[in-house]
Amino acid sequence: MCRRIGAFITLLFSLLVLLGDEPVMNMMPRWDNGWGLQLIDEYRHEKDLLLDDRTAYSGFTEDVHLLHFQGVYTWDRSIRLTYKLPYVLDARREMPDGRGGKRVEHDNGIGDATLALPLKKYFNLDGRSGSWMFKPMLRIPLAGNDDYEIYDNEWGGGLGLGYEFEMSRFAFTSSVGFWAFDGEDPSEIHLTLDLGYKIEPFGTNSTLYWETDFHYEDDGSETLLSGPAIYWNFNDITHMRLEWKHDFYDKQGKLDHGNGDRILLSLGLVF
Amino acid sequence: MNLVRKSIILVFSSMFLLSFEVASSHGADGDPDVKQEVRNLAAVKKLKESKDISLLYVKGLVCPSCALGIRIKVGKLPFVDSARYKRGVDMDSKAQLLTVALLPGAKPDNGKMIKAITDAGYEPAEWYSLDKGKLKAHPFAVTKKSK
Repeated sequence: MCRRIGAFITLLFSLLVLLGDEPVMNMMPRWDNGWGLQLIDEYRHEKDLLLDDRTAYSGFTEDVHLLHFQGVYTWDRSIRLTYKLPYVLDARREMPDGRGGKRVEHDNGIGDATLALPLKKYFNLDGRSGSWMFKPMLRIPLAGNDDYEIYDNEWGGGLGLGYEFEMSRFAFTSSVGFWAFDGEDPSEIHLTLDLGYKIEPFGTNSTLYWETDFHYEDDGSETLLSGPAIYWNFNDITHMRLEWKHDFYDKQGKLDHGNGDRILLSLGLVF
Repeated sequence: MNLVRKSIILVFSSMFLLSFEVASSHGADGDPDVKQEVRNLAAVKKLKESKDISLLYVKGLVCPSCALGIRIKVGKLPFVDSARYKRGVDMDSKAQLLTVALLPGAKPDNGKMIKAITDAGYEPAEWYSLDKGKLKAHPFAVTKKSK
């Protein structure tokens, strides 16, 4: 009974605070002096221009193609340092030109970097292993000035809390994250909830996930994304992940694109 | 609060609670995902089939990917035969059993084994031997709590 009450309090606490977007390496490397690199290829397509929860301009699209370079180092298994550096291969969006037509804008180049210090408290039980996480984060402005910006070239600070566990068949990850920025960018809250079921195709280790994210910005924007993902452990070093998420609910506090889909392909190496 | 926001909170809360229910009923101490009898049978089978091994029960060894560190750390120990299994280590995440291949005639150093497994993020609980065909469990002294 006490355990159930504890779990409920945990739930409420976690829902108030988190973020945990280290897709391949969330559980790795959990050994002393372990390190890893990760490359993520992300493509997203937004099909409408929204204002509030209505479509202001139907068919005004945005296509974004990004590469994310990420790394992690685990000193002691409870202390990690992670970095994330995005690179905009190509971003293109259609905006109203004020004369009833479309104006096309582009962005490319390096994005804003993120440094984080995830602090983890692991637990090992009979049949279950997991961790609690507290994560201070820093956004470093590196983006340039193009027609428009995917990354806003602003300093930012964030805090994340996470809870995750794995069993021989199931996996669960949840997180809450909060970001505040130095410039005009609105503050953000991210919630994530991932449920996984383990499979062993061709003698390898894989996990099928259903993942749900909710993003809130204090200009009133809200997005609920959800979709499947598969994680594949090829060998001790090489790990892969493929995910697709669809915007099931999208509301924009200012005129912005929405109602889209995103696909991410990740390749991770751990040592 | 509009209906969509209420629904989002309801879905997140329900899934979170459901996960705790699954975890607490299938994976906690005292109500193990793998029953002790099942683990014992697997241990007896392993010990009868394999020579020159050390067989351990490692708490939390349920995720082969997360436990790669065990292979990295244990595989480097001087008494481990890294030519067998994968770097001398075989992990059974269903029974939470760790099989370590030993060099012929080598005796395992339990102190080094405990440190390697603990550094990899896990908790060695006991090791097994066969005594006249019967399984004998030897609990490890607790040296360091999981961080």
